[in-house]
Amino acid sequence: MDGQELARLSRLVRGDVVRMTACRATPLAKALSAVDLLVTLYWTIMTLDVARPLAPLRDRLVMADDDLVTAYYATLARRGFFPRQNLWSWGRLGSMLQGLADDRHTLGVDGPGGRPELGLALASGMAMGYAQGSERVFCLVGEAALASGAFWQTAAAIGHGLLTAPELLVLVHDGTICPETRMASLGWKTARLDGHDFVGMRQALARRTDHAAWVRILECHAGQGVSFLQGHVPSEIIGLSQLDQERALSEIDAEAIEAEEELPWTF
Amino acid sequence: MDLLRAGDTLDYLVQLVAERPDAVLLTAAGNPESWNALLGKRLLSVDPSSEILAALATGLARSGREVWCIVPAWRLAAQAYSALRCLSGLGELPLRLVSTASGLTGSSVGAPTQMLEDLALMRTLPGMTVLVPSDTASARFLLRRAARVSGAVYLRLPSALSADDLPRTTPLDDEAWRGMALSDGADVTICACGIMVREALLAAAVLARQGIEASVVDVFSPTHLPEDAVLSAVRRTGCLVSAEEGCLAGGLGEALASLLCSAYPAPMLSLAVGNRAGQSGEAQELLEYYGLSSRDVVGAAVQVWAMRRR
Repeated sequence: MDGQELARLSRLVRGDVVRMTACRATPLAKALSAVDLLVTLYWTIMTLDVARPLAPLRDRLVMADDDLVTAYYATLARRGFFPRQNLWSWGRLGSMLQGLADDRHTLGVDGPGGRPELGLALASGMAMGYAQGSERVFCLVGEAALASGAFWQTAAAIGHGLLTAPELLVLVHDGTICPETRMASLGWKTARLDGHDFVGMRQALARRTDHAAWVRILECHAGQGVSFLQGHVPSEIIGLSQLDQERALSEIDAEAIEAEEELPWTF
Repeated sequence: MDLLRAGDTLDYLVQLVAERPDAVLLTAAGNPESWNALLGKRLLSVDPSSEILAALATGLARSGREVWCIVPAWRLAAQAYSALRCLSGLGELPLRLVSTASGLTGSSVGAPTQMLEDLALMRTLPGMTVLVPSDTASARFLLRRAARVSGAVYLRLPSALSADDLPRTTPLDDEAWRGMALSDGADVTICACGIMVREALLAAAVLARQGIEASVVDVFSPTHLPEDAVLSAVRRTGCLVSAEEGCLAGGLGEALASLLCSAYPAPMLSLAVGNRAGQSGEAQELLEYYGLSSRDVVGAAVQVWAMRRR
């Protein structure tokens, strides 16, 4: 799958993120920024079989940033874990898509949300459990986790070899945070990637890191793909009006978005 | 300190983990060398916060491993609670949480390390099975039982288990894992858990000298009450005293009261730590100060016996 095809998929996923958050206040700019990474992971890096979503030998992703849940769900739906119609009922009573990621309700979700600062420890436990197998365990964290003591305590224990390292991906926005120095001082190897460069991400993530403590810092742009959302503080809660939603969808690239039938929402 | 006092039972637990190839044991740092020798890489000794330990445990459990944790109650139930309720699908994950130094007598240094609310907190987590052994034999039995529970288990290990096992008339088998009657008097029922079972038996002996025959029920599980044993005793005696070494709210007494209200309303008194925090002191001193000694059980039994319907 080449970069162009991944870019097309990303636009489709972004379109779904905008639709599913219509008239609801969410950290939309941040969610849009993570779509390219998630598409790269789910289409080119992770070993998984959507026909057998619970196959034991699949790779896992622990989503440790609750602000990205819409992008996460939209990616999983587009990848085929569940029908896209479910996206429109996200967070409603009875929906299979809980407001925060919850592996008890949603196929394709590998770990629960709600405690971003503990995502690294959760992923480390999983990596320990799969240490003898071929499964890879990724952990995606955002700025919120970097501000917590629990994250750094876990990072220190991993860096000092006391715990097993998952493949840590840290999403940062527009150069606001530079965790490399601190991670390196704890024994982690670091690399900075462009979070919107499909080819670069694919090359960097293709190889398993053999349990060495590696962190990939992914530099992303808030509101990627929608001009009037760029420059927003990533975690800013944004509610798009109907008009803004139409503008956003047209900017994301109407041509790339296949003719969408009117999909009813479902649980 | 608590590890030394509950040492034999913990050694037994380590043996149990060693027998189970998929099991992993997580503890705070500072384990005996023999544990390392027995479990090798399946023993993970880290000493970050208990929240992190709980997150690690749920991650390991999600990878299909059977995870045992040994952590003092005040860290496990208080610090790790938030992580447990967020990160674990408790109905499904094979997590076995063994707390040491629990209750009022778990620590002599005061309230911060005397975990009184653990039963209430764990009992209210959806899908959690709570087990409270009362002597060494029941501790071993319930550890084995915990290994076979499909979901999460919280096992509250008393800080001091004496070498003498309690007198039991029925065997500790699969039918008795929720609890069992230890005596079958006809005047007053005393339901207790953990170290309070011994106080209940002492009280029963005193009551017998006063002509009041007590039926003592050793309740192993506040989440899965031995309903048959409790209700048949209360139907016989018409009243009940509950005794636990923890806080009143959300504990064994409330679980029993709920059962009685719905199945067989009868006068009941609960002995537990009321709306108070713990404090420094030796175990027996604390039990007496907080009204949890055998003498207090006798007093409550006489009181409730006088209240029963005639």
